[in-house]
Amino acid sequence: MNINFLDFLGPMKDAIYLNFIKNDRYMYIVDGLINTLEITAVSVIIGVIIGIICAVIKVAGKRVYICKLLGYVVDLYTTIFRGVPVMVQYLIAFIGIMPLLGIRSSFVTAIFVFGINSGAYISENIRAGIEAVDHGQEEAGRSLGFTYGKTMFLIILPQAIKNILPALGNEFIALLKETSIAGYFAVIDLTKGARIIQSQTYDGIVPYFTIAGIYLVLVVILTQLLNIFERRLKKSDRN
Amino acid sequence: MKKMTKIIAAVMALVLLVSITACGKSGLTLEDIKADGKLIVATNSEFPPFEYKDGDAVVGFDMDLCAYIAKEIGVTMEVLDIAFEDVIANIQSGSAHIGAAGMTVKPDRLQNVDFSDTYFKASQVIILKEDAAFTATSELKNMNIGVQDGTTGADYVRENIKEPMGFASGALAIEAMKAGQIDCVIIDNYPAIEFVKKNPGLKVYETPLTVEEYAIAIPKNSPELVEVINKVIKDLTANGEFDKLLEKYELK
Repeated sequence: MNINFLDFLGPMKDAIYLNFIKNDRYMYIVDGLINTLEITAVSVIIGVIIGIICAVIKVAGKRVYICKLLGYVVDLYTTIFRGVPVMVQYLIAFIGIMPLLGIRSSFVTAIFVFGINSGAYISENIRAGIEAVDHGQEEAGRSLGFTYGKTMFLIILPQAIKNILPALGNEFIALLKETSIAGYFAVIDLTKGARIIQSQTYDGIVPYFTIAGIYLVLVVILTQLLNIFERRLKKSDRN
Repeated sequence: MKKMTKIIAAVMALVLLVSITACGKSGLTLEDIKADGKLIVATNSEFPPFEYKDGDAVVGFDMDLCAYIAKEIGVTMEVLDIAFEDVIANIQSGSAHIGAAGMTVKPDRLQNVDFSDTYFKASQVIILKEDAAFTATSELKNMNIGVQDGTTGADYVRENIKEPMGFASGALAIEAMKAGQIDCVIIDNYPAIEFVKKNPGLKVYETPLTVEEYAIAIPKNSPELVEVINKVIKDLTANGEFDKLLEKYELK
């Protein structure tokens, strides 16, 4: 079995040596993978925080006057960031906004762009999740003496998150793949890592198929984790 | 988990299969190009004066040179304008016949593509803001260096100075420098001159970092094509046309 596999690898041995072993080129893939995962994870966390704040403002807008006003700002935010391509947002952030803020790190720029962008999508997901929670839950909370805020954060939001977990998972997966845009702006992500190898060896096939495999494996693992997580949360469901 | 293992195994099998088929591919013959009726040249039009856009057309020194090659083969020429890093991939996949994009011959590259004789000596220079205090290349290691992805300049910085900030095009790197995101851009000398001409407030630090030579990229195992291209370069040099081309694009 082992010998068979090596035979199969035979014609590939040179290509693998050239693209990955020589000059430690595999490090571009390793560094790229770490950067991709870091950018995705931090961006999703930022996105979820922004998303929760925006969604709560939108929902509370029906009750609290100040939230109603803030709701217009949130509307503007989601409209702009869902309506303009990420690539364009990135260009504007990189050339226009980051210099104003005095930020020169390409990594921070990536997190900034993807975090704010996914916040717009996640806020809409969360809002839908909150609105899907039965109205009786809020009434129950209020009759137990909770304030509106406490009802929201202790009773409604946890149930809402459970409702929207699949949507959040999709956002995470979409973002994982979307981060390859950062490669255009001086971040070495997984895609850029493969492109650097390609530019040195002029072999596109081996590095590109390798990262395609890595992305696919990452997404499959994420999907599995999400399934397990969902099943755990469902345990409390009565039916 | 079983399902996952199966998927991963399937992907790996596919990778091997595709790679093996790609390895065994035979090269291009002149008959192949004549059958297509045109010589398809892959390039990236953001590299003036070797290739740049004039209206809708891609023109420049490399394009004129390739027109001579197409004439020699007896076909017309078509330009495939793509990202610099994808020029080679398109030659390997067969969507283009040759690549002319100010490409430098390097030993590792020769394993996957062949090159014609070199036709131009270029160097890597530093573009800076006009008010930048810069006196020696040793200062580079404390600076944020911008490069165009896939260029030999990028590799030079990576191997000799530090990890550069790589951008999709030289123009984007220049934008980033103007916005203060990076301190300098290292790029081939002639595009550098063009960029500085178009962007007031920039200057070129004259001392070159390295010197290298451009050649035309040709698919592996295509001896006829290599021969024709080398003949064209030799003939043009002999009859003085090559010098005229250099003068036309102010490359002298």
